[in-house]
Amino acid sequence: MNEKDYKIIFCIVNAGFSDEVMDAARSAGATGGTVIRGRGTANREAEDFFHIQFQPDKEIIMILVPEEIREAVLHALYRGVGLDTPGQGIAFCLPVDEVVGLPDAEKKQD
Amino acid sequence: MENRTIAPVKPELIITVVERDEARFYEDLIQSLGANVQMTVDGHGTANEKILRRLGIAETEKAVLFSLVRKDRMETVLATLKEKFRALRGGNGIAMAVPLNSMIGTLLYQFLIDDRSNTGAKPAGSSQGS
Repeated sequence: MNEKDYKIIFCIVNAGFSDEVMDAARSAGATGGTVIRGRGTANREAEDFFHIQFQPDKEIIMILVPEEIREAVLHALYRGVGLDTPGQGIAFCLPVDEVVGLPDAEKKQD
Repeated sequence: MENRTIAPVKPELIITVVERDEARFYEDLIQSLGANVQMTVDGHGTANEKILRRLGIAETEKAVLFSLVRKDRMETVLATLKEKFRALRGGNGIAMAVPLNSMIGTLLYQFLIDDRSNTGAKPAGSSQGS
């Protein structure tokens, strides 16, 4: 098991806003992320109800973070690229059982 | 009370990020370790722009592999990936294991955990009487 508890944050934003995502995440202590492209779909009726114009071209940024900064990173993403910003971003977090390949994720010594 | 089925062997999602031109190698490696289902998407890294300019790199091209393996093989998969990341020149990467909460479909479940005991399904490429 890793010494630290890690989480993987997925942040989905309009295409072209991945730099803003990383600026926000880094401001809260994240070190890096990986960007993949995607195509989003939305319920037309919900768009009208919430007065949101949905852009289909998306970037999905995956950011691996230690648990201790997870909340700060999520808050920074919400403020920097949230739904009421031009990025129209949403972010969610998944648990991670184990990580390899990160310099800091050293195994515990038994 | 609702009758819920608890899977005896849980699948685990392994997310692996590697250099894009190494993707096929890692796909084959993870498949050989028991992943029957994988998906690879292209991505790029988010290294600091100043650093990239200094190194003369436009951007860092990555591949993101989503692989489903049995949870009891997870440690082996991660240990093997860690060794390859360390040992191979240009083999830098990161891999993480994400637990699955639930899924539906017994055939899908058997396919994901590679349980060939009860399906009665013929192996791919087989024919009657051969």
